[in-house]
Amino acid sequence: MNDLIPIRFRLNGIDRKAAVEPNQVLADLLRDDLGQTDVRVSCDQGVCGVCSVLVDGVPVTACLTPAFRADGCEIVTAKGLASGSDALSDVQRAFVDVSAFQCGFCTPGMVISATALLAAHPAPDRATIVGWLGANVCRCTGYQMIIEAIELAAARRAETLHVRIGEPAD
Amino acid sequence: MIDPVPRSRKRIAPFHLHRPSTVAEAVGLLADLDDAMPMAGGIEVLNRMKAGLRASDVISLSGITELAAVQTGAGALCIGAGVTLHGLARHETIRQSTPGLATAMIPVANVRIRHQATLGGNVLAGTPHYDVLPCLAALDATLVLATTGGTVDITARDFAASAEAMPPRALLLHAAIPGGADVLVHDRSMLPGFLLTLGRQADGTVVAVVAGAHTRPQARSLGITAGELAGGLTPVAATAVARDWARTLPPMRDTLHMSAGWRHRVVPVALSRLLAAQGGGRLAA
Repeated sequence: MNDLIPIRFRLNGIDRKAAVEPNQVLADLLRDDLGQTDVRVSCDQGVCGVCSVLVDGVPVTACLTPAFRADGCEIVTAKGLASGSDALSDVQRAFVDVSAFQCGFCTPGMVISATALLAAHPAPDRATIVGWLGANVCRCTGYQMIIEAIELAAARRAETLHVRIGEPAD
Repeated sequence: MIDPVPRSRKRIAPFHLHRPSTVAEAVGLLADLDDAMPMAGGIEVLNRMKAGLRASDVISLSGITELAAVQTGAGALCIGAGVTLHGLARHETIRQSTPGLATAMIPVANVRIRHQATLGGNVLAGTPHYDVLPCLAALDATLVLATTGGTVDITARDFAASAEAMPPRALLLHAAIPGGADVLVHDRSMLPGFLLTLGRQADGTVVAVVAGAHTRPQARSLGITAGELAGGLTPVAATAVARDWARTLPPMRDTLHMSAGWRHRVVPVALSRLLAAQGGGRLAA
């Protein structure tokens, strides 16, 4: 019972091919086969959110997603959000600026969720942020700094938008 | 050091994968294979396989586009079994036809799970406190199944009462919700002990469902109309309605979260407060 399934997908902007087993999950494909160590596995049952990745822009639980479902998809991990080693995404920059981490284990999943949140809700209120963060567990920070980081990223985007359309930033 | 054998392949027993693209193909596979497990979003199936569930064959349903359809017609809203919980909460047609159902799905699980988990998976999982089946039972929805002999209809209420109501080797196609029915309240505040759902049926009567207090959700009519409920029940009247409703329930179950005795006492109290609050009344007498 070893039917390998050929798949093609785009991972962090690079076209990839793989042959996956039916019982292989996306987290294992990304982490173990492709060395994507920013995709972490903790609870392994879809609760903690540390394995979160974006699949076609949607946040998914990589530990409960069959690897064969990646076929034809665009996958982005936390590492792929940065456009280069020195060019963090605005969400990543906001996390750094407010030190929204302690041990850092949950941070890739948090950044993925925050990125998806701001794509769905560009100006989220605190209740919306808290609701989305219910998908991610952090045992260090108490979440306050993570919420602040998301609010900061949203505020910076709004400021940029105002500047773009020629309105006062305040 | 990275373990050379990924954990999924240690924990999930090997299986043959089938990826049908039509309902007919999937139904044929279910009929032909003796140990086949349908898988839509994969949340339940993979989680249970990690916990030891085995199946020689898994039928992935994600390639069957008609299972993800939402349609209105013939006086009913038909929601495909492959519609995700996120889709239930956000699909425009569902929000317009059954806004209470859409609202009920918003707090379920978390945003990632809602994007993957499906109506069908949630209904068929058999987990006592899952949200979709009690809502469908409260709406008097019909579950439409495909078998090799054609389609079969069963009521969500019958399926809630007993999983045996579903014929073997059937594929859930969609849930049909009668026009005019909607979820009035879906109260998850007592989880993990139990959840309560109030539904307005097409004829205007109100059904209350308790899920998680028994191994299967229990749906019973409250003997009042949605109009009477909206008009406001006094705390005394609400208590009487809730007690009468609770008397028809079978004995509740013991779990680590809540004893049977405690459930027996608190379910009618929670229901009576919910009822009293619907007409703008206060939660406490």
